[in-house]
Parts: sequence; C-alpha cells; structure tokens
Amino acid sequence: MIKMEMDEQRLREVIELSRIGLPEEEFKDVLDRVNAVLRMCDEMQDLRMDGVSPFEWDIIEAQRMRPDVPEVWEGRDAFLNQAPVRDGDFFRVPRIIPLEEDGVSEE
Amino acid sequence: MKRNTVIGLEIHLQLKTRTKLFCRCSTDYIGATPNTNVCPICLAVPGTLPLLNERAVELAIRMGLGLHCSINDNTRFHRKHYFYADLPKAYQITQYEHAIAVGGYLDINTGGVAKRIRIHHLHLEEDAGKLVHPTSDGRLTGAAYSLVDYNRGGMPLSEIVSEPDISSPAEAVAYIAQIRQLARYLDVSDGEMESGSLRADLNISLSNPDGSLGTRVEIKNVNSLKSAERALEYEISRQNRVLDEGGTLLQETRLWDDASGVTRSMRSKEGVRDYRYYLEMDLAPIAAKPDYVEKIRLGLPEMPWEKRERFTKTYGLSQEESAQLTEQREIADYFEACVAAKAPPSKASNWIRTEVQRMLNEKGIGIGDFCVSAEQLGRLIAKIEDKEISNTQAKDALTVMANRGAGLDEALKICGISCGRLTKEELEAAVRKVLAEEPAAAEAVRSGQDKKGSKYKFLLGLVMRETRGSADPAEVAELLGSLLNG
Amino acid sequence: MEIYRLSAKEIARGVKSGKFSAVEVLSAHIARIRECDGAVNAVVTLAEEEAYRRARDIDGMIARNEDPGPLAGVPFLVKDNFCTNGIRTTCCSRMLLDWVPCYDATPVKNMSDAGAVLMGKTNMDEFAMGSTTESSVFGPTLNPRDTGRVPGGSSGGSAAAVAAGYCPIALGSDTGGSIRQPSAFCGVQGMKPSYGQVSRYGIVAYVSSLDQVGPITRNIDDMAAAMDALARADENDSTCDAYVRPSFSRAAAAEGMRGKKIAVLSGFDRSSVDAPLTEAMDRAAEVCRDLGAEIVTADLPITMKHGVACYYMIALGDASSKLACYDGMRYGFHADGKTLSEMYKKSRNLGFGDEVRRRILIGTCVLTRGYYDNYYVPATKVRRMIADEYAALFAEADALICPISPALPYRRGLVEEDPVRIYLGDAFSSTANLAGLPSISLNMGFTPDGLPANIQLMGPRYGDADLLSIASAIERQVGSPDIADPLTKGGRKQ
Repeated sequence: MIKMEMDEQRLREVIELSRIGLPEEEFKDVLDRVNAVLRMCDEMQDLRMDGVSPFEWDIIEAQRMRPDVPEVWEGRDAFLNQAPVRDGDFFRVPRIIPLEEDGVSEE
Repeated sequence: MKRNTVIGLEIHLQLKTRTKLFCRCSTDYIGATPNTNVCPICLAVPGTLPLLNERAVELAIRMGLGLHCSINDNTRFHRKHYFYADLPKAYQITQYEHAIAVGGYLDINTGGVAKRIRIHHLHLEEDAGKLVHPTSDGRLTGAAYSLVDYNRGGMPLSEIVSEPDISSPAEAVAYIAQIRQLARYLDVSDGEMESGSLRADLNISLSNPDGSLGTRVEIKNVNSLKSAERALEYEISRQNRVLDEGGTLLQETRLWDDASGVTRSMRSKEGVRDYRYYLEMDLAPIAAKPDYVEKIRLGLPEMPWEKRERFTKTYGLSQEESAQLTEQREIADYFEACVAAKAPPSKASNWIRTEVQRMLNEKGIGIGDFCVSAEQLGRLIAKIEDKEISNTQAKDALTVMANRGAGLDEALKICGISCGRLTKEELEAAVRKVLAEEPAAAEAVRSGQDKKGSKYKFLLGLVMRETRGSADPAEVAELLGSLLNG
Repeated sequence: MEIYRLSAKEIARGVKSGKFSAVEVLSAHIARIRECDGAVNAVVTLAEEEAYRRARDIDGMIARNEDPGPLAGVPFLVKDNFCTNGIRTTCCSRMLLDWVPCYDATPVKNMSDAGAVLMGKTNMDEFAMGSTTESSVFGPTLNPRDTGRVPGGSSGGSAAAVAAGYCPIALGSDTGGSIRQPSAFCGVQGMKPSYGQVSRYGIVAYVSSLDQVGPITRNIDDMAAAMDALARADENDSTCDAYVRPSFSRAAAAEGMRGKKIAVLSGFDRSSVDAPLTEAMDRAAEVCRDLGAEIVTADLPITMKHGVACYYMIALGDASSKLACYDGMRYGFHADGKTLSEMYKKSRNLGFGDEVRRRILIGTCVLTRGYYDNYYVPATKVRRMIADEYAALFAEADALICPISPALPYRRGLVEEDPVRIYLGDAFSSTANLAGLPSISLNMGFTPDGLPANIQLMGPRYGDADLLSIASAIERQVGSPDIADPLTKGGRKQ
C-alpha cells in the first residue's frame, strides 16, 4: 500500500491545474479533508487485481455514432446575447500572458 | 563532430466531413462570421453530451488502411485536461491509448532513394477554437486582450505520429508531401498547409556519437513544405552549434519564425502541466468490427504509389512522367480517360503535362474545372496520330475548346480546319498554285541552283500554308518533285 | 378529497374523463405549494405562467377528443439541475444563478410529451454534491416529516415536494444515492433506473458514468408510469441504450413474487445501522416470504469494504473534469480578472460554494500523476470487481434487500460537524451506481416518532421491470406512504 498525503505544494499545483483560487487560510481545512478521503481509499490498493481490467459499460444497443448531417443552431444569437464576455461576434478574454513575462503561453 | 539527425513528425489532418467530430455543426468555417458554426455541444453548454460522427471514424480508418496500419476493433476516447480560452470544456476529447489505427508505414522517395518510415499510430481528436489577438503582427505577445471564435472548435482531426525514422530535412519534406498526397487520394482531407487543414509538428534531436539519443526539441508553426525544410535545417545547425560550444539543449517547444528564418523558444507558463488523461465515459467504445473495416478497405481507391507503378508498366511511361501524372488523382484519371478515347499514352502524357497544365496554371483552375473533357482531348490527340490534323492545328483547336468551351467538332470548324486528308486532286491543285505564284523559286529548284535547299523549303512552306497545315509533308515533297521535274 | 392527494394515475384518469380539468389540477397543486413551502423550501423556481399555458393546452386537447398521453394533466417538478427551456436552471449554485437554458432536458421533454405539466424546479445540494440539501444557494430544504431534520440529498427538494403533496411525481438525479436516500429520509418511493435506461441529455453533469435520472413518487404504480414516459432511446445521449423497453406499468401490475428468490444482505455490522432500518429489511423479507418467494442471504465482501472509497475516487475525479467548463466566459457567474488565469480563478472561486470547490480540488488531485496510478486506476478496477460481485449475486437471486442509509434522517447541521460520516453514509447506496443496477427506495412504514423507514431493493442490470414487479408486490402488502403535513407535524418553522 502506498499511502499518499497531499501536502501544501501539491495543493498549490492542484489549485493551478483546476483554476480554483483558494485563499491561504482555507488551505489547512482542505488538506485535512483531502487526506481524510485519501485515507478512506488506501485499502483499495491491497486488493488483488491481477488481470482485472478497468470498468466499462455493457450497453445492449448503443447508438454509438451519428450520421454526418449538418444542422444549424437557431439559438446562437440569444446565446451570445447573454454571454458574460461578449464582444460583437466574439468572446473576449483579458490578457493571456501576464505583463511580467515575455514569451508565448503554451497551447 | 558527426551527429545523426533523428526526426519524428506529428501531422494533424482536418478530416473532410460535413459536420464536426462530436456535434452537428457544419465544418465549412473558413470565411464564416465568427461563432456561427457553433451549438450547445461545442460551446460546452451544461447538460450537453458529445455525439461521435460516423464519417470521421470512416475517414480515419481509410487513412489508417492507406498507411498500412492495423485497425483497432475496440477504440476509445480520453479526455486531455487544460485551461485555455479556445477550449470550452477545459478538456479536449482525444485518444490517449487504444488509438483507432496502429503500427503502419509509409514509403517515401528522396531523390531516387526509397525509404520506409514507420507509423506509430493514427488517432482521432477534436480541434480547438481560434484566438484573434489585436496586436500589429497578430501574435499573442503583448496582446492586452484576445477574441475567441469557436467555429473551428470541435473540427475533426486525425493525428498521424511517425516513429523517429526520418533522418534529414529532405526526407521530412518527402514524408509530409506523401502524407498529403495520400490524404487527397483517399479524399480524407484537403491537406492544405496554408489554410491549416494539414499541420505538421516537427520533433528533432541530434544523436550523440556513441549512439545515445540527444535532447528532443519540438518545432511548431511551420506552414509550408519549404518552411519545414528551412526550419529543420536551421534547427540542426543551431543544435550542432550549441553542442559544439559545450552547451546543453533544453527539451522544449520552439516556434518557427518564417520571416526571420529562426526558431524561437516558447517559454511556457511557469508551473505544472499535467493533462490528467482518463477515459471519456460520455462515449461508448467504438467497435470497428472486421467486416465494417473490410467494407471500407474494399472501397479504397488505388494508392498513389500503386498507380505510379501501374502507369510505368502499362503505359510505358518514365518514372518521372508517371510521378507527374499521378501527383493528383484527378489528373491521373483524366489521363486514363484520354487514353481510353484512343490517344496514344505518350502523346496524351505530353499534352497533359505541357499544354493542359499550362492552361490550368494560366486560368488558375484545377483539372476538375477544365472545360475540355478527357474524351474530347483524347479524340483530338487521336486525330493527330491518324494524321488528320497537325500538331499546330490541334493546339489552335484546344485553345478554342478551352477558352470558349466549344466541343471538338465545333472548334475545328471555328479554326477552319477541315479534317480528313486532302484528296490527291486538292493537293495537286495547291502545289500547282504555289508553283504558279512563285516561278523564280520554282525555276531555281528545277535548274538545280537551290544548293542549300532554302528555296525548296520556301515552296514547301507555302504549300503547307496553302493547305492550312493539313497536308502531309511527305506527300507534298513527292508531288513537288514530280511537278517540278516534269 | 383534495386533488393534491390523488395519485398520478388517478389524476390522469380524471382529466381524461373530464372529472376535472388540467387547470383545476394545476391550481390545486400550486395552492399546496404556496401553503407549505414557506416551511419546507423545496421549490426554488415556480414557473406558473408556463405551467398554466401547458395545462390549458392539455384541456384543449381533451376538448378536441385528442389524447394528451398517459400522464395527462399530471403536474410534476424537476430538480434544478435539469435544463428547462426558458426557465432558469441554477444547480442551486451562484455559478448558474441567472442562467436560462435554451433547450429542454430529454427527460423533461418526455414527461411533457406524455401529457404531464411542468410546474417548476426543486432545491438541491449545489451541483448535486451532498446528501442533505443544505449547500444550496437558496438555503436548506427542511424535511416535511420533521422540519428539524434534513430531507436528504442531493435531490432533497424533489423528495420533500412529493412527500408534502406538491406533485405526485418529481424527477431527481442519482449519482451515489441522490434519489434513493432523500426518498428514504422523506418517506416516499424513489427509483434509480439501470445506467443507460433514461437519457442524461440536459442534466447538468456531475459524474458521467454514474449519473442517472429517476422518478420520485408516493406509490409504485405512479413510478412505473413515470418510467414508461422516461425510459426511451435518445439520439442526443450515446450512453442511453437504444433497446426496446418493456412496459413498466404492466410489470408493476403483474403478480410479482411467486417463485422469486430474494436475497437479504448480510456480512455487515447490523449495529452500525439504525434499528428501525434493519427491522424494515426484516419485515420486507417476511412479506416476500409470505407471498411465495424464497429468502436467502447474500454477502458482498468487496463491495461493502471498498464500495464507498471506490465511489468517491471515481465521482470526485469525474466531477473535477465536468465542472471545468465553468469559467465565466460563455455563461454563468463572471468575475473580472487582469489576466485570463485570474478571471478563471475569481469566477470559479466566487461562483462555486465551499463543498464544490473542495470536491473539485480533491478530484483534480486524484487524477494527477502519482495519485492517478495509486488511487484512481485501482478504483476503476475495484469497480469492475464490484460489478462482477453483484452479477454473481444476481445470477442466484432476483432481487436484493439492503439498507439505503445507515441512519434515520440526520438532524440539520450535521454535515458541518461530521462530513466524513456523511460521506460514509453513501456506503450502501453508491455501489448500485458503480455497477449500473436498478434500485428502488421503498417505504416500509414509520417509526413511532414519525420518521420514515425505507429499504433498498436492487435488481440485476436492465432488470428494472422485474424490480418494479417485486416492489409493487411488497407495497400492496405494506401500503404506500401518506402525504406529510409540514405545518403541523413535528415542525418548527425555519
């Protein structure tokens, strides 16, 4: 069994990855909760799982694929009208690269 | 120090479907008003679910078969997570494992040398939207804000990943060109680098003298074959320079700057990049059953290399001629229809590669928009072969057919070309006429004073002009001879 | 008898026969809502205008001798994570407080196509994350049976609404017990169908591979009628099965018990479950036996030991993924930022409540390198093992009786004191979601204090019709629950 603990550094990484801005004073409480959940899950690792493949659905008659026929969405204008960051036909976002840095953002 | 160049390519092809990969939006987004080819699914509106496009799967399988891959009969999708303005769900639906096609190869030819490049896999994924930056050069650096257009978001892409078997910029170019040709032959993609339906990411490293692999650098933003070649050449010299000077190379992504002819480091945002790939459970696994794949295989057209081979064997053309004629499937088809209309292969080959190609270039059109059908051209060339008309006359007729859309017979009439040979009487009348009009020249030839034969040629030319080029020069010579000498 | 006390079937029959109009029916139920909801807070949006329009349409059809459908004039409510065209859909979160969808969720459309009349949206735990309906931006819902207690969650509003007589049918969503547990806490009948039985299109996602839509009713006949309307193929949901469903109403009416083998769960510590609940299980087994079924016991060792951990790994991981689209750009709560990253963080931090933020963080962590291999991947394999364990059980038995919640309805505020206990409360209910099995929360009566005691009745995958038969047979013996009166029974007003 590998008991993993989430520490503050990993929490900071996870905050970045999930774009959730968590105030510092909430760090301890979140870490306690996360680690409580992880402790709940440690024992799963000890099960013998050789040859077990991950779960997938057995759907009887799935509609797995859709015909290649285009449709126009009538609600486009109404949708744009209530978008928080609408700018004409576009969505507008603030500065992607922070001012202090030079270079290009990934992706 | 001699270091080997090791190159692997990742090529993204936009698939020629009518709708996006996971929704029913049209794929016809070039030139469209921003954010009009969108719907709740590709805008990630809460409660929506992806719906896989069957034609995209079919095209991916076609391309996989063309690349000699095995088709996975239980292919699956995964989510790749990251936040960026062009990605509405904040994850891209792609294939991380169990790609739809694996383990193939592509044979390329670089300056006469053949080489087999192994294909690691081909997978399906959705494209991201487009960002517009209000900077003077349109680049992201320095933009105070950006505008997002999701029309391209969700477009179906197939990504082809090669093994690092490519050893030179020339080979890389040959590989990209062959992928492009195959994609067009199979009608899988338009494969245009300039408009973005074919995008190539280049991975290059220099191996150390002891054979160990060097640091791998990825190059993006290459928009043409020429750029790919220049970018790789630049990068090879840059990497050699750094290593020669005792420096170390960073494993990084660099952007090719075509205007300056250099690659630039793309300094990523500080911090962690973890895509957290896991199974996409909103989609059921796709079972590409053997008979489904077989049906697709049976519907495949002849591969470009197969056609090239066949043309050299069946039509007795040179390798180079075959390569030119089969470069585009439509022209190869045109050539064969021409030959079927009784044009001799070598003549048809010449006419198409010279006259027809020149006209297409001038008009800026493809063979599909050329108003002279292959059958019409074939019949025209056959008439030359049967000596019914001359080369010159045929060129004139073709010009009329191409410019005015006239049919063959109408064009010949417009040019005043009468088909069929001249009768003996018509020819004799023409020769007599010329001799009567040019007594001095006739006398010179008759009396043997025309040592250089220039007067003779002059008379011959006049007869040809008189008969509007439809006389057979050999017959004219015979007649001239007999009439001049009694 | 007041119209709101009638069952769905009785209402449909009455509307079709002209005994009363759809408008009358609607009025009676809206009056009931107005009367009680101050004390319960189950309804977050009452769409009166649209409802009356629809009711008038139904009456028009009746007047023209057209058949509006099997649920003609039946009023219903849906949980506020069901997209409803033109009616705000908030998931009880600040993140979507003003969001009005431009389309109807397929289950909503299916109910309307069957003649039912949508009255509005019910309260829930924010983004369906919770078991007490106390994390809603609209304030908590109170249990109509005892307003000092929670109604359960996350579909607490829908369960409370049915218990208090607001409507005979309400729809909820169940990811780890979110229909069945509130049904148990409020003393009504609730069903989570097999995964793939009902379309998820238009349900704001929590966990792709666990979410399922289901009906909450006061009797099994109404539940079966709702299933007939809801369980259909849908081209907008690739995970919704396209097979031809049997008639669930016919199954519920059939003679359900003779020759069946009913398993009773054993191998767990009975003292960890409140006594009235284990007694309810025993009573249910007795009823089955009296009706001619064979009773056996069954063990689910892996499921009982690892089920809830497995559930949380999968649920939290997927939740972090499905909630990543809330970035304040195209819809939802928006906060300005100097940079793109800041805009994301501010919008998400201010738009999401505490529990949602915590779960996203835990879920993101579980999917990162290291944690993914040691926690998430084992969970996906344990899930397969749990599904196999259930399959082996149902190879030998037709249904399983077990608890839903280990506890009677919690007192309000417990979730703040002891959150892990609340998580563990999903131990019995969440494994049905992991294996995709149909499961019914069936009321077996009330304690002397008036608290409901429900059992869980589970069946094999796609065995929904048979399960309804069995549930119906039990209900015929023990009776179906009465409407709660929140104004007089056990209630301090909020």
